[in-house]
Amino acid sequence: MANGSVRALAHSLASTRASNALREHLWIVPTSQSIHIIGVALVFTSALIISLRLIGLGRSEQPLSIQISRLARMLFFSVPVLLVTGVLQTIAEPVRQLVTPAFWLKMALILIGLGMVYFLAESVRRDPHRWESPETRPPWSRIYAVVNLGIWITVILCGRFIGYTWMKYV
Amino acid sequence: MDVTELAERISELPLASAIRTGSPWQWTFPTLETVHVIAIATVFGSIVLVDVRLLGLGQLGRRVSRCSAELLPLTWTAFTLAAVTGSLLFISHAPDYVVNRQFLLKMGIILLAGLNMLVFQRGIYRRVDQWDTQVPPPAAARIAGVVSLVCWTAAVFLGRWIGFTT
Repeated sequence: MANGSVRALAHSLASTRASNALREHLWIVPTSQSIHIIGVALVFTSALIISLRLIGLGRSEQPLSIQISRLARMLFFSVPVLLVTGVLQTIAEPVRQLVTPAFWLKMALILIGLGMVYFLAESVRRDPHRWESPETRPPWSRIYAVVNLGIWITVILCGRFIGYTWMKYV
Repeated sequence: MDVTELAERISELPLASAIRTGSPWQWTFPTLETVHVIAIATVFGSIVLVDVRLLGLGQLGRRVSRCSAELLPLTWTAFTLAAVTGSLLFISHAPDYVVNRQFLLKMGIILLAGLNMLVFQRGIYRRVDQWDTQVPPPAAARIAGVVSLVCWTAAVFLGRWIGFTT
């Protein structure tokens, strides 16, 4: 495994001036984390409402295609906020982040989750009428709903567990 | 019995010490935190969707009453989950939390958010049929939207800050 080199990279990143400066100001990391949670809230709620609608638990007067495109837009708008705050936190505490499997699993699941939302939004945009009724929807839409929701829940789980597991890997 | 003493007693409950000590399951506390984050995320996200409509910033073309009716069940379900997990986290370290400034402020702000909601529901929202499609909505509704956004944002910040003080 490339664990050794990742650890070395993390330690050298931690000794950079930028990393030290971010840690010196004690308010930066908690502020960034708070903004990060707000971004998480927007992404998670969008994904949750989309999944509930596809499963048939959430009702709305809005046509499904419009609801999904609105929520997907809110989700993708939150991504830059999460990216900026996430990168900031990683520069400030690279060892805490980069050494944990929870961090890398989180990153992989985010890519899969975002890809899935993009794929869904595109499918709905190309053929909105097909999506309005549960009978004409693709048969995979319910499975999609459960898997995608599971992915975002696991992303949050990994995010929280980074802070509890990293000490084991240093 | 004063508050500190009560908090001590609460934290000695078998359930509280099981969460605190991580016995029998070492991941109890972080797992509760994770569920708490998921619940808070849903509370915050669903409230934002209603608030942006109240401010006339988003979800335009939708009736306020529909937005609210569709999203509030989600908000309340998630809030219940947040309250249950939050209470479990609280009892595990009750003596620390009852003297924690960020925690007390967070509780006060959630109360304020609830009060704001009550004033809104009992006030301008009673006549929602008169402004259901109006953009922007009346000033009283916009004020309720701003107060709500500020309160919940502050609650998230304070919640995260608690983790840096205990």
